[in-house]
Amino acid sequence: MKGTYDIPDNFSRALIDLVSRLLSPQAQRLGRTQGGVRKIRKHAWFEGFNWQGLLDREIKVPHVPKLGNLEKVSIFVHGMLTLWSFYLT
Amino acid sequence: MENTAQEKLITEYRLMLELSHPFIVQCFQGKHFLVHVMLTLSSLYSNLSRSHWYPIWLTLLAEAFQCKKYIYFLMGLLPGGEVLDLLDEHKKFSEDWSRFYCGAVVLVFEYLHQQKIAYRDLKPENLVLDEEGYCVVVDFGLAKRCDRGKTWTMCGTPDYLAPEIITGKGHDWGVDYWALGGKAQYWSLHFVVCFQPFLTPCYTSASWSQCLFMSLPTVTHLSMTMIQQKLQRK
Repeated sequence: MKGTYDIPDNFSRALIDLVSRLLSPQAQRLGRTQGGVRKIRKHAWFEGFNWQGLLDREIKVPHVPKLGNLEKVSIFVHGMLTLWSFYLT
Repeated sequence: MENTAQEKLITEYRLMLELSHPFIVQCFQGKHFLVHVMLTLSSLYSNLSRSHWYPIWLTLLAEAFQCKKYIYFLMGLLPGGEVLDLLDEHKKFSEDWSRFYCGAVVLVFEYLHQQKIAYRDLKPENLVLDEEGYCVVVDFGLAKRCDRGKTWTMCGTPDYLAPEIITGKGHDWGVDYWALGGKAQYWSLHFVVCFQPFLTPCYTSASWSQCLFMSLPTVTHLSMTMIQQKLQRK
């Protein structure tokens, strides 16, 4: 089975490398080869990326969603109920 | 027919109950009526990052949300909307944005693949933002445990199908990385003409379905001809 795809000019070199390694046959695909997902995490495109910060939810988010009033109320109610459940236990 | 659908839901539900990751939508089950009411009252909202203490007072009880006709999934509320909507709004993500969302997905995959679960349905529609803007992976309807080696079910979204799914040679969690590659490109490139590496022109297009059916090894020649005729007529 064969397939072709174009990589646009505005991609950085690291991203081109990552994409081409991911879009490769099963046996050579990054993440599935030796080293597993760690190879992706250590890839040049992710260089300097704060993985621990992402997991701890401490890094800056690119887009903060705008919440409607209903969501705000539900978040508030949940907070109150959480406090209440701590009080009960 | 209804039974199998129900079984599928239950399988998905059981799988989800076992999973616990900050970037996977969580599924809760209440032992006490009070917990049930609380979670429902709070509009099914729960802060995923601080959910680690939930198991203390939430335990498994499979019948809790199943009535005669329906099965209820109680999940954390993700009010931020789909990443796809965000993409439509911005037309194209910068590499920094893509890196952030891809990073979250990579973390989820790391966790899932450790447990030998293939997610198999990665696409922007299945990434939803929580109230702080972190993306969470939802919809585990196609997820499957592959601890006994490869799996052969033909499933996924056409645009992100890895070649080994189409050829039917058996696949495992490796297909998720293929989809990730497709997505990394898709995100950074929404505005350019060829924005997906293997874009399906239309989900129902005859040519694509034909190509899928042609490549399925289990379809006999006769039924294949029949399918082709049906496709051409439309």
